[in-house]
Amino acid sequence: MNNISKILAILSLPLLLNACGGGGGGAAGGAVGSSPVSACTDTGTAFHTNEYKRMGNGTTGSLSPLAFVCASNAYAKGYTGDGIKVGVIDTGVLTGGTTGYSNTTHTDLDGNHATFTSGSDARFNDDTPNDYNGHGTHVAGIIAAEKNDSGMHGIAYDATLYTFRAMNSSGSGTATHFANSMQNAVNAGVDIINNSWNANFGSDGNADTDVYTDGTCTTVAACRSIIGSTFYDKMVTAGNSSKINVWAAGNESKAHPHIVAGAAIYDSRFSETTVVVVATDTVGTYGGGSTNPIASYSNKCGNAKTICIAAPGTSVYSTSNDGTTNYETLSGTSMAAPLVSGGLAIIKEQFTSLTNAQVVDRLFATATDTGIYSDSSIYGHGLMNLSQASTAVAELQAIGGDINLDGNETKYYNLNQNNFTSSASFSNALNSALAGQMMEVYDSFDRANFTTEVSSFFTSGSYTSQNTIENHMFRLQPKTTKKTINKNLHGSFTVEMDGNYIQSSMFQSTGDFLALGFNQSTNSFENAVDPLSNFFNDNNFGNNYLANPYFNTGSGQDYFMSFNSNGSFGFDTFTNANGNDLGLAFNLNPLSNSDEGKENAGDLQIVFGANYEQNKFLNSTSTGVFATGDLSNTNFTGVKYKKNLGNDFTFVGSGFAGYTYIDKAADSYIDSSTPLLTSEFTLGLAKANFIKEDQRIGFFINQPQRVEDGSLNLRVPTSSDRDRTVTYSNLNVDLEPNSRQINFDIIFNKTITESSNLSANLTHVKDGDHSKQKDGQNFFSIFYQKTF
Amino acid sequence: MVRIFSQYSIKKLFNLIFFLAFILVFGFSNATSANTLIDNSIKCGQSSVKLIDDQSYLTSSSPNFRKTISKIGNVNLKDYNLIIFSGYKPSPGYRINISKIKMKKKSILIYYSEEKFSNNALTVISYPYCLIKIENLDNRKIKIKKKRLKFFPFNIF
Repeated sequence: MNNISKILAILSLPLLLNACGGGGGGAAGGAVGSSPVSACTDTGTAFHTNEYKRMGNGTTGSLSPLAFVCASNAYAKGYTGDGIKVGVIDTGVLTGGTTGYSNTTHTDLDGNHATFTSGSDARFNDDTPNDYNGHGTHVAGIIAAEKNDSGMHGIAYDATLYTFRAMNSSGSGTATHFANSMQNAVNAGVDIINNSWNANFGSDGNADTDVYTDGTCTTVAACRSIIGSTFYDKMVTAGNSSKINVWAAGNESKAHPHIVAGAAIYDSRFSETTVVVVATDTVGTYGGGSTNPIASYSNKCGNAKTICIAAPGTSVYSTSNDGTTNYETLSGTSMAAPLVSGGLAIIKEQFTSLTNAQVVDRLFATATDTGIYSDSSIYGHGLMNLSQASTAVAELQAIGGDINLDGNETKYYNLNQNNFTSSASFSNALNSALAGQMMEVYDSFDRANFTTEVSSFFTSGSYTSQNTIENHMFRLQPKTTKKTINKNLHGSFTVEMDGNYIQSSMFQSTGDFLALGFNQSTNSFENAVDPLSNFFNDNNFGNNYLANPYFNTGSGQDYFMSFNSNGSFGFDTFTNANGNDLGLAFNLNPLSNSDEGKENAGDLQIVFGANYEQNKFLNSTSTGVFATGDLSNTNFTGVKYKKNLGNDFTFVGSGFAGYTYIDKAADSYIDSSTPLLTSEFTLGLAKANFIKEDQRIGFFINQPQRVEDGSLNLRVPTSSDRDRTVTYSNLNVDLEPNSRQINFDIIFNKTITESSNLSANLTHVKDGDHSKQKDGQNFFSIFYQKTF
Repeated sequence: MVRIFSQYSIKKLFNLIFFLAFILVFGFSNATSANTLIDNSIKCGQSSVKLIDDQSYLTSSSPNFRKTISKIGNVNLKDYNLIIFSGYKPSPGYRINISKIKMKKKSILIYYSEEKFSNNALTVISYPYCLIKIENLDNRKIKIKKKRLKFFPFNIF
């Protein structure tokens, strides 16, 4: 029995692993170009109003066409077709009469309808395209009926409608009527033209409706002859003007769309801006239902599959010409086409960098094309999917400073290649300046422009992030490292080990002429005052109070070298493991010329130096479009002072100031900067034999490195236009934080016996990370050690 | 030669059949007129984009009759007690016509035909219908038959 259990356990392991592996594929729907796109989930619940739902058969159930194409996901991102002009060539729109009206009288359309343009009624040659059929009013509502808490709303409920009447009350019109309407739409400057009609006019200009894209014509000339040159040439005109024409595929249950809709496949002049729409059935009246398959009446994409897409078209509830507040339910590819016209308006509004042809490309590339929609002969590119269309379909990238989205020299960086980790000396100021600031990034699929917060690329350095109770306690614990000292005629070599790892090491030649240090300052003054703070354990709490802040990368692999003369002056050099940092400092010791002994060396030290940082400044690292140049430079000076005050009191103090010049990198958004003035200081007072022998107390005040003055200018891309150019905006960032961090430390140590020791430490941190917004930190630790 | 003669004979035979059929059709056509109800009791040639009922007919006793009539608009309920459909069409350019109504003791047989009467460009589904007034409708069984187009382009009923 046990054996069986083991076998089952062994067998089940791979199954579990497989299950886990499946989770990695959870990026369903994240398709790229030809990659499959899964069905969307309509997640914009705040927009699932009754108006939203009623487009589905006039009910408030779950059958809204808007839900099937996930329109609410685009709404949730703020895109509703606002500012996009959509023309409707149809039977007109409801008005109060035949002439004399400048706008529709339907209360759900008038707010979104533009003033009727001159000659907008091509059918009867006047300016009032009144609708005595109802079809045009219904189509207009599907596109842009208002979201106003009554009736229903259109898919692009903030788009601007333009009506061009080509058909009379019975749905009839000639080639001239349609051609004039198309020309009027082009003249009016609409972006998208909806055509919920089919007709081929031949040479006589009269409408016929029985020719399909089934190979009857396969050349421009032949198709032009069938459609009739009067109207065909206007399609060319629209194409040359980059207007998007959206066509109903027709309702004859044919394998191919009507020829007027699909002729674009033979004519490159308007093929990139033509969309043919087949209808699906969400309600089950025509063979559909919850799976929303092709409606039984709808023509299929067939030969026009490369320019074809599907959208719900059955039992669509929209505005009616029966009255100013009336609605009705209609079915057909006439109803599917305006859904796509509105969808295109939403895409076009969101992505201002896309040309109209690219808007169409995105519509197609993001359509759901898995499951039943994978049959391109029926559904073309699939079911319109506005969730996917409004989402990045490929890698989002930052542009490398160029203004041309498609330039041969234009560089792009994947988002994770752009980072800026700021020094805590100015992170507070940077965070404040970047709050709410947006910049553009681009989908590598089509360079569709998305916005993201500039701050998303920035990581704040922090002095206080390691200020935890645990670390405060650890500060008082005995050092875990083991220090060994070897001396010979040439000098001494000190190694501090932490287990098998070298924590730090230093070689000092005899007479201290030369010192070499690894993670250990070789500066004689710093080493002389170090014992004063030796009862602080090495840890990440707070700052390394008495060391030169400009000779510190924090990488854990810093190298120091010092040349000392007779004690009156010396040189310190500094670098890190990969040589990114190079530092040189001249130390002048004016009060230590007496050679009275090492303990007096460096009573006063004045430092002049320079530090060079490769691709960083003040230990702020950055990459990609936020990179800094090869050689940012800091010139600094410092003063260090130590004085025995008598009565076992010792005073120590140090202060540094420097000017940092940021080196600009090519392609970087860090465009320019003023020199950054930084400062740091520490004051300390220690007393041995405090009250009793073997008791010590110390008081330290420290200000970590802080930018006192200086700024940098970020030049970030903030908008892009349909001519594929990028506009940058300047974002001047004053790097001086809004406050000043001060650390207050009192530390007490008492040797009780040879084997027992008591330490206590009280710390107060004011305005951590130089931020006024941060609460003060207070820590109190007591540590008692007894060795058995 | 034989082959040519054979073809000629078939052509003659075809013409003969055509002639007989014409006589037959002509006679039936007269008979049909006699059985057709008076004009003002039938209202055809309409097509509604608002109807969604895909049934073949509705009588005044049907629950949906009143609702359907209301969608058509401007129809007096008292004027008609039967509405027949022929399903959905790809555009409003279609209509149906009643070609014959046979009144029997216990049943009514209605023949209708479909026609594309215009090249309507609208791509909205429509529902052609006819409204009919028939006395004692509810006492009879209703049968709807679509006229099938035969070999000749004439009405053979």
